[in-house]
Amino acid sequence: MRVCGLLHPSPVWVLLAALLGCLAANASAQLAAPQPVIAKRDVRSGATFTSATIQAQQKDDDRNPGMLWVDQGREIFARDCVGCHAEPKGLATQLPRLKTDGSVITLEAQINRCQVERVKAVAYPIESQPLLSLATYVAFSSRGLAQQLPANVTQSHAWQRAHNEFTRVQGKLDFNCRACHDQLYGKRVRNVNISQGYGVGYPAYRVEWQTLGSLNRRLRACFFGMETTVPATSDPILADLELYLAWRAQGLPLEAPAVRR
Amino acid sequence: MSIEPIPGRNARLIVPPLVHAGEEFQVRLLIQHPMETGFRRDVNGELIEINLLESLSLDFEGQPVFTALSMNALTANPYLAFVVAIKQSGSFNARWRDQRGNVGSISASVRVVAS
Repeated sequence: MRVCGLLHPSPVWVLLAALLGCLAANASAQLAAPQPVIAKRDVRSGATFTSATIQAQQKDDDRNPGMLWVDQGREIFARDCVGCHAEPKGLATQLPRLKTDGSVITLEAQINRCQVERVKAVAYPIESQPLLSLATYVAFSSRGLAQQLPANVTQSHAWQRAHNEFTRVQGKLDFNCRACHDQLYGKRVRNVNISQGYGVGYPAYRVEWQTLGSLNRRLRACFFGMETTVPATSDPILADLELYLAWRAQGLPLEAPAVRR
Repeated sequence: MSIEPIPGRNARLIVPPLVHAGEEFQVRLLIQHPMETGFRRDVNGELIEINLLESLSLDFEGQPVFTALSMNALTANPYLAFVVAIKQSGSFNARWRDQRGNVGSISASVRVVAS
């Protein structure tokens, strides 16, 4: 076989050609990487869609009820977590992350993994006071920082699954997530402003719940609002969606514990 | 699912650390409490028993400053703020009790500096 008139088909040239081919394929994949519908300069935190009263409540730590959970989380962190994590700052920016098996591990799931594997204790029940407190404290410690996404996140199966879910029309009202949060944000549905749908403020204190809750709980409330099947808390699609929302937020700073309507 | 607050850490009492004698300042109290109205149902459809904060008081060095009777229109995790003026350094102590008999308290001290 002759590769080229001037060159002998030595293994070195074959290898080089293969390498160049790989690089080209990689470059074209990066060029074609999907981008969020909302451009980076238009990205707005969910807080900007709430009333002035709620924004003031979030900004003032002495009035923000989420700080009660932060106080408790700080105590648990000092007791259970400092052995491995000297500094809580920045931990939450690494989450949600991708596991090697392609599944997504969220902030709460990571805390429970640590709880079982490192603290050698029983995993906290979902939405329990200690789990929410720890998650809120860890997220609070990264306030103002941006989430770090896994490399090539848009090529992951988790991203693809979440993308399909985000754009799939479902429920009695024939909605998909995109219809509101990518296209109609700033408008009103019933008596609420439609936000752009990011998770950067979570775990957040929601006035509707009269308590603090996780992004997992908020996402289930979205499905309920769309009048479609509400996934179980353990459904991996919720974790995939958390990763997808972080991708859509494009470096919007974390602001937990946020106050939401 | 029952929510078990960690004892002693379910409130924030916020006061300025230093004030002038006779100067008015704000005391802010944030308490973690579900303020169950008795109208809500749990996941099994059972009514959740009413559980409101029934007494709430704040004193300064044993002297009553503020008392509140809370009813079911008060939000969960209530936030209360009021203005006081003191003549000498001391500590504020807030206590509350709910209808299930749970009690809580928190204190914070203020130092008065010569004006």
